[in-house]
Amino acid sequence: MLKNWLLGIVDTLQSLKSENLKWNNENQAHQAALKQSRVLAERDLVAELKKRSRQLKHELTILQTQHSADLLMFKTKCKQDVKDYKQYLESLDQLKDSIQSSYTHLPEAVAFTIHHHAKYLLNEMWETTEFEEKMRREIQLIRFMSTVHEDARLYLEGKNKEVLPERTLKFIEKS
Amino acid sequence: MLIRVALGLFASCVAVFLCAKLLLVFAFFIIAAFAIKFAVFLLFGAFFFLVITAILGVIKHLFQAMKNYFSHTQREQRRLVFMANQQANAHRLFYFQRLQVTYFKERLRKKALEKDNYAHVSALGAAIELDLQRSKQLLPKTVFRQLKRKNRLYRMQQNAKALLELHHQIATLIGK
Repeated sequence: MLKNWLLGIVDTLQSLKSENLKWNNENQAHQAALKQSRVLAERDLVAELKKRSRQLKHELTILQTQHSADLLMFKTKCKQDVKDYKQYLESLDQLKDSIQSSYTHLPEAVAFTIHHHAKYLLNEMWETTEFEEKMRREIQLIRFMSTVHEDARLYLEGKNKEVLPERTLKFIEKS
Repeated sequence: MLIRVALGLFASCVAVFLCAKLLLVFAFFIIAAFAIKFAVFLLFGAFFFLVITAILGVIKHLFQAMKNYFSHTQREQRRLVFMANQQANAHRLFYFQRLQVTYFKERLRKKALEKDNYAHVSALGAAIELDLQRSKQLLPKTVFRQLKRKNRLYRMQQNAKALLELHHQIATLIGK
């Protein structure tokens, strides 16, 4: 009984083994083809990845060159901006000198107020990021400066007899 | 293969234990004792083979993992990820460099503005001082000293608004 049972198990195992062997034998070609195609696919993938990384490297080089050029341009622009701002400040100083030299008895406080207002307009213009708003404020500053110069000129030519630059002061009051 | 040996040893061990039990039942104590010792030896042998199998499995797994890690595909994939990171870093670096340049530009502009403000506030303070000196006789001594102190303080604080108010106050006092 036990012997038969053991023999049955051994038979089952052997039949399983032979089935496996048979299956392997039948599908050997398929398996080899699968292996081959897997190797080829892997090789293709590697080639594709290499190509992509080369492309990325190239893009990176271009990007770095572009960035350094942009940065250089940006630095130059910033330097120019600061230079322009300083020039604006100088011209505002000249504006103050001009009004003081025309109106010889003009109190320092009035000259200071005019200069301070001009500086306020300049800073407003400078700190605005929107282009249209910036342009509007620049025009306002230029108008203010020309009003001051106009006042000074008229006073020097004797066409204006007022003690204070009234048009300029009105401009400040309005804004 | 090793696991088969281990399983075989386990099966033999069980068989020997059963035999020992039978021998004990039939009162063959000495042989049974030898059989039990032999079964224990077989059990230890089975465990030893199991441990060896586990160690070998781990080593094989490690070896496979390393092989995968250093394989062509994975190396190329890592290189690709590295390149992508480099690109992202380049973008980030550019953004922060621009930010830094903007910051320094603003600092320079503010410095120029502060210098200009200082010069003009000082000029206003000096003018107020001159006005005060001129009208010294018209003002009571205490008021004169107080105004002078205020002028000095506001000049030190660079307080343009207070200086303008002080100028107005002096003009009003002299006007009286």
